[in-house]
Amino acid sequence: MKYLVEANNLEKKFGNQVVLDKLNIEAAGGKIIGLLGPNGSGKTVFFNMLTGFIQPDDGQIIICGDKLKPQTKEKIAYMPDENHLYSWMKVKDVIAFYSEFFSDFDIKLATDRIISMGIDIDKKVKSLSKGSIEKLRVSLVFSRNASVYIIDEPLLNIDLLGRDKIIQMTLDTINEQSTMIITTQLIGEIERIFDEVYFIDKGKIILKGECDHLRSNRGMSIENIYREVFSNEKFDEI
Amino acid sequence: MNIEFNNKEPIYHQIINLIKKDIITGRYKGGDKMLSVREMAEKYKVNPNTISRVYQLLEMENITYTQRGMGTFITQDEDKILQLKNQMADSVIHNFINEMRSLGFENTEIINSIKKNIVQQAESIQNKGVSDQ
Repeated sequence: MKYLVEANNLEKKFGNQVVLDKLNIEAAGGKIIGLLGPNGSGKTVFFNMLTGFIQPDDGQIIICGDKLKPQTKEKIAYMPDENHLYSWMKVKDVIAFYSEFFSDFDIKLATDRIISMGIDIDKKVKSLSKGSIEKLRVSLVFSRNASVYIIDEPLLNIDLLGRDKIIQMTLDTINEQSTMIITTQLIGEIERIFDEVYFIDKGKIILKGECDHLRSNRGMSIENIYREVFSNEKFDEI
Repeated sequence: MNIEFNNKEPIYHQIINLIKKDIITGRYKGGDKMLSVREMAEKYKVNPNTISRVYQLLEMENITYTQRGMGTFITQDEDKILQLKNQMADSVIHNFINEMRSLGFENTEIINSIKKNIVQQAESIQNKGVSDQ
């Protein structure tokens, strides 16, 4: 089994609007993949499809060699782009909740990581700052021992040193038996840890490739390739 | 360690050059054991796949060798290290010449400007030595 995630020709329409257009993405073990595109390009719809919240009109998804079914969902650690935690819970209750809910959750690792992010586990989620909630969410998802990590915007609202920690956490989490698909608008911050990137526009993959390959072919950072691809303007890098 | 990478150049390429530099300057010596892929990835804060590639390419260039079950080691071939040093010097000079040409300098002007700057630098180091006493 080469790929842990295979999305084949995914199609989806909402009314007349095409949101995914013959989308193909493959994620192999050990790879960190960046899914990059502007707002409304279909990234979150794709993620919702991987996690079974939305059904494709056509095409199929294979996770770890199996068609998507309730059991395969357990292999996926998903961090949606919006806060999904109960705000009335204390942080330590959230940790306990995760531990009960996910059999692959490492409670000690999560607690250590959350404390090292400077979060007081006796505080309620609603009393945390935006950035701290994000740090908490990322720490929780990366403390699962999943096969597939789907991470929607891990760096938003997070301070500089926190972002460094999250990038380190990402590298600590990835192994040959797991794969990650990450979206972000802060491309320059994280591009050095991506193996491959897919550029998505209006539900379609318009460019994909291995990062170092793209850099040497175009003499540009992934961030500036993004600028060029989506603004249709030539970009001269100094 | 936090290394600032230039995102427009392949990351593996930049790490290869950093390691080569460490070999040339003697920070890594012939026969030294290299860090594991994981450790090196941690050190440079990059993806382990990038480091795997770095190690493969270094081995292909005979700069390192792998001993089964023991790890990866720096070559003990002194000629190889010297060759590496010359290669890296050539590449620095090559870039320099290109930059100077892009500024409109002719060959003799480039050479004269190097001579002038080398003398100036040497003098300024000497003067500093004198004033320190």
